[in-house]
Amino acid sequence: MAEVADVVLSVQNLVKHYSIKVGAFQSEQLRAVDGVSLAVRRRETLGLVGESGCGKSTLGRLALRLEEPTSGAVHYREVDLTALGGHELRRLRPKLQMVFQDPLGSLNPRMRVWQSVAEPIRLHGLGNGSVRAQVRELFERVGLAEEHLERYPHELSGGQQQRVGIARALAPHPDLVILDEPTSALDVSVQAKLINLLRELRAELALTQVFISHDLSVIGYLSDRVAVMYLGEIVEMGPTAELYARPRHPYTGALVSAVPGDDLLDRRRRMMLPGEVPSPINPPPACRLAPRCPFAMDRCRQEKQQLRAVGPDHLVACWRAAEGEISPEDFERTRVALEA
Amino acid sequence: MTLLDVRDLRTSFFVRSGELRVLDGVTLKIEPGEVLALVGETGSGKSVTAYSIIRLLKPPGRVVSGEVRWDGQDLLPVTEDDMEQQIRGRQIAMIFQNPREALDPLMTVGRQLTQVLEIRQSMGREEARREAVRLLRSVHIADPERRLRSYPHELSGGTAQRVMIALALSCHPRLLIADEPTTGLDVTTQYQIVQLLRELRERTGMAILLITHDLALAAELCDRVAVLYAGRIAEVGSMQNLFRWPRHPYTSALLASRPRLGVTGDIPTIPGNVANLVNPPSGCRFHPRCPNATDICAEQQPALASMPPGQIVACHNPVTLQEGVAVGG
Repeated sequence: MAEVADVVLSVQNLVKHYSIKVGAFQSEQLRAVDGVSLAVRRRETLGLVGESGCGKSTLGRLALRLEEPTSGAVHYREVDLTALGGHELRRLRPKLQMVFQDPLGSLNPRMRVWQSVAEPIRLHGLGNGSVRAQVRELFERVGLAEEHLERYPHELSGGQQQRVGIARALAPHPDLVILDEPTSALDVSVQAKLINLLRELRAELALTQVFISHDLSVIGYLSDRVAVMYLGEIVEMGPTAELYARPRHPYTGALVSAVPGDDLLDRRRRMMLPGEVPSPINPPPACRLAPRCPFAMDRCRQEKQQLRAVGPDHLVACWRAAEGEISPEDFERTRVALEA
Repeated sequence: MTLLDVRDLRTSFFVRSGELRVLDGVTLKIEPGEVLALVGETGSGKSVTAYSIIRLLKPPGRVVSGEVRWDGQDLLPVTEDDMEQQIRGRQIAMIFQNPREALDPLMTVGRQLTQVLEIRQSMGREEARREAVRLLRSVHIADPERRLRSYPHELSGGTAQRVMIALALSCHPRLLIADEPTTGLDVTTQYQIVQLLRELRERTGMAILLITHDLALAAELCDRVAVLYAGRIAEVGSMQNLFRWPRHPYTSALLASRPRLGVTGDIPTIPGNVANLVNPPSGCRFHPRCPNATDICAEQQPALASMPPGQIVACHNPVTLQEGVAVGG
C-alpha cells in the first residue's frame, strides 16, 4: 500500500442510506452506498465504474461532502471532512472540485460563460493579476477560442459546454477533481476530443482525480486504477490493465466481456448475467451478486466476503475468486454456455 | 419485393430562423427479415427518418418530398385513418429509448396489452388475457401472470423494454423500428435486449430498423448499416464490408474515434463541429471536416454510387481500400 502521506482522499466504511416513504408511517432504507473504503493517491486517476443506481455518483458527492454521509469518514489529506463546519469547509472548497455530466445544469444560464469561470477565482480571492486574463488562459487550456468567452451557455455545443465546466473546475487550482460521467451525454466524435483533452490535462497538471463512469472503454483510457461498484459496494479494485486483462470478480468479468473489442466485427461471446440489478432497498443479504452469479455457492448466500488481496494492489470481494477457484477459463466457459 | 423502400426523402423543420433541412434526400431499403442499422450522431436525422416513415412527425416538422414505399405502396399520400388502421402499430411497430415513458403510467401492463389485442385483433377479454400472457412469456418475462398486474413505474428499465417489445409484437409486425432501444439500460441488461431482438427476428422473420449512435450495438445485431451525416446518407453496405472497409471518410473517422482498450496516445478525432442545418455547407455537407476534401466537394453534392467491396457511398474522394483495412481491423 502507498504511504499515508501519498493519499489525497480516503473514505472509510462510508455509508449513505436514504429513507424512502412506503406508507404513512413506514419508511424503508435505500442503501445507496453501503460500507465503502478506498484511497486515492497523489496524482493518480481512480476510475469508479458501475451501472446506473450502483451508488457511484453518490459516493462522488459524499467524497466532496456535497452530501452528508449516514456514517463513515472522509479524509482529504489529514483533514476529516465529515467533522468540518461550514466555514472551514468553504475554505477548502477551491481544492476540491467536481465536473458534472450535465454542464448546462452546473452553469448559470444568465451569465456569460467567462463569468461562470471567473466566479470561483473571485469567490476564493485567488485573483492575482487580471481575472479575465486567467480565464482566457484557462479557455485556451481546455481548447475553447477567445470568441467563446462572451457567449451564454445555451449558445455553445454540448462539447463546448463541458469544456467550460472543466475550465470552471480547474479555475481555483484544485488538488482533487471528481469527474462524474463528463463524456456520457456526448456523441462519439465529440467524446473522443474531450477524452483527449482530459488525458492531456491529467499529464500537464498532475491532478489527482476520481473518474466516475458506466463506460469501461472510457474508464480504461483515463484511469490508473479502477474500482468496480455493484449495489452500493466495491466488489473489485485493481490496476486498470490487470483488472481488464484478468478480472477476478464475476461481475467485473461480465462488465469487461461487454466492452466492444478492437474489432467490432468480432462478435465476442459475452458473459451474460441473468436477471437485472436488484433494488438497493432490499439487497441480497450476503454477496449481492449471488442471485445472478453463475459461480455462487451456499456460502455466497450466507456470509459476506470483504475485499481481499489477490495480487499486488488488486482486491476482490468474492469467496471463490479470492480462493482462486474461478479461472479465466471458467469465465470463458460461462460465456459460451450462457450464449447457447 | 423490397419491404421498405425510402426514396429521396426530404423533411424540413420550419422554425423562426428558417427552414432546417433535417433530411435532405434520404434513400434506403429494407428487405423482408433484414436488420438495418441507421447510424448517426445527434442531429444527423436518424430519428426524424423513423418518424417520417411512420408519419409521426409533429409540427414544425414536415415531409417535403420523396417516397416511402411500403410493400410497393407509397405511404406519404395515405390518409391518417388508413395509416392508423392498417400500417402503424400493425404492420410497422416501434419501440423507443425510454420504455417507461412510452407506456401509459395509469394503466397496468395487462390492460395495455389486452386493450391493444381487443381493438386490433378483435379478441374477447379472456382470449386477450391469454394472449397477453403468451406475449410476455415470449419476451422472457418471468411470472407473466403477476406482471400483468404491474404498473409501468414498478418495472425495471429492462422489463419495461420487454413489455414494449411484447406490445409491438402483439400485431405481428413485419417491421420493427427500434429507436435506441438499449440506451439508458444497464450494461448487463443491454445485452439481454439485443439477444431478445435477435431471437425474435429469427423466430418471427420480422425486419428491424435499428436507430442508434452506437456502432458496437449495430455490429451486434445488424446485417446492413446505413451511416447518416447531416440529413444525408453517407454510406450504406453490409456490416462486414462497411466496418472492415469503410469508404466514406466520415464512416472511417467515426470508427476510429472510439476509445479502445490498450490503445495509448490520442484518439483520432474529427475536426470541427456537426454541420449547421440552417446554413449547411455547400456540396458535400461533410467537406469542411473531411481530410480528403478537394475543390469539387464544396461545389457539387456527391451522388450515391456503388463502390467495391460492395457498398453504396456518396463521396468524391473515398477512402482507399488499403486505408480502410487499417481502420477496421
